Amino acid sequence: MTLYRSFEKTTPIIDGHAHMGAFRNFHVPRNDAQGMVERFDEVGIDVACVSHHAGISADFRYGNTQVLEAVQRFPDRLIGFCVVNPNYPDESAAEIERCFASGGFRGFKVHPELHGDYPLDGPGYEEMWRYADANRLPVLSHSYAGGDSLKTFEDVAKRYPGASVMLGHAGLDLGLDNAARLVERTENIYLDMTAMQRHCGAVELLASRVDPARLTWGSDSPFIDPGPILGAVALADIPADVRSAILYDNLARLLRITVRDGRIEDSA
Amino acid sequence: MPDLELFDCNSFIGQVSVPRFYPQRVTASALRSEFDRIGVAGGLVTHVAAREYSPILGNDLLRDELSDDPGLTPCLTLLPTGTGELWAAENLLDELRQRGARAVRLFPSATIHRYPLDRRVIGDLLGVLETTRVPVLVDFDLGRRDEADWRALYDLAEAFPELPLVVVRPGGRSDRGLYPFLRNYPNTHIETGGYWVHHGLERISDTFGADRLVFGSGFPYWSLSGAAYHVATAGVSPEEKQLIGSGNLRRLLEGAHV
Repeated sequence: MTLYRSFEKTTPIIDGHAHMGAFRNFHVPRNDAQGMVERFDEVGIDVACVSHHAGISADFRYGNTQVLEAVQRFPDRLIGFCVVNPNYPDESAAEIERCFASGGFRGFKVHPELHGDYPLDGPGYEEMWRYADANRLPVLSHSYAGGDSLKTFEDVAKRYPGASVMLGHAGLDLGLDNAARLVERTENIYLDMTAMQRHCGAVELLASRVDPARLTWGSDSPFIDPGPILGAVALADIPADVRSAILYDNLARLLRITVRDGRIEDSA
Repeated sequence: MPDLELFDCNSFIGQVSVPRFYPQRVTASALRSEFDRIGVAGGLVTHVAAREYSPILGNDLLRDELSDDPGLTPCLTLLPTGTGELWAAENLLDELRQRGARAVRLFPSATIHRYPLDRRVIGDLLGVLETTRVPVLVDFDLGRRDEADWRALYDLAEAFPELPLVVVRPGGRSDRGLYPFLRNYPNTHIETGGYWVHHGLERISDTFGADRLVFGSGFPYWSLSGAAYHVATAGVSPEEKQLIGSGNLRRLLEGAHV
């Protein structure tokens, strides 16, 4: 009888794109930190970078506070990604200061689509970009059809070379070949494969076309269950060292951490 | 992990017209190779041409191309009888027998075969299938933000209570319509690969029973790796996992009296 072949985990797994909380548009069971960590345990995720659904919709200060509390509760499992709402630029500086002073945040997450198609290179994001540039932080931005062009991602990446720009969903809606070429001609853009892994062959194709050191993955949990998303990388038909780069090495480098014996440690 | 047998209710052979990331013609042997790589015992197989071009051609290609592999079981695609394009209701069982099929599939959405999922349109076929308990897989070809036609599904499940229905790719944003469907109509099921709700498999198992979940991938449109891992890591008991992985589909197929 043919039986399922279990995945043999060889490195810690860092999830670079996760959320938290309820969402207006659909039912999200067990969307709090406890529910997420329990599911991470089942699928094998050691550490996840989280931003809050409230942050990318109605109230970014409330959302960041929820993340801050979750990170304090699970300091070796969750890393906060600060959300700013570009429609309230006067609040950005204080909110950024508040988040990063807490010690639990190591990057930014923005969702221009849910904030009114606000352009990624608009003035409402300038405070974030300056901070990320100065502090060598990753900035993960959602990408989508009709949203920021790859040229816009390229422009901000060049303008803020200290920041690492994570192109959300690997620019799935903007053309994979174009996204791959964008990586080739920039130094600090990474393709965040979140959710696109569900497409058959997506992981294998990206791994063969793009420098594996520039690929990251994320579950989009709890927007999506992490099982099918992680599985598409864990069981992908790719070399073992490429899998390790995607699941751990690249995000550890961007976040400047090492995950060892269940703990998050600062690295250089 | 205890041994887990997977049997895929939603796999295809053929050449996808828009292969976003997997530009390969999937033959029966290629499907078998991918199944073996992951450790999937077999599956219900539909032809890409039946979905993307015409069920008339696709069902014939399925008969011709599906190998003698006993693990690959044909799943025929139906059309409404009103236009006379495919089989009449009185010929349906003969076609199923001749083609070795014990399950059928519908693609009613406007982007695929475009017809109302309504008893006045498809009821004559569903009546035959209900009598013989042949599982019917309904696939709305949903995009990630689309919603199944739940009202149509409620009506059909009510009109044909003994008909085993499996909603393929019910979506990850569908619980508010899905839960009443599963709650009110006990002979209904969903495919796992297209149900990516957080803790969703666990919640459905706890609320409605693991016997309502049927493993499926959508390969080669969707990742078999992800679908398999999803079920393998589900937070349910080993017995429930085995039902989801293969037991439920095998039970449905064995219950078909073709």
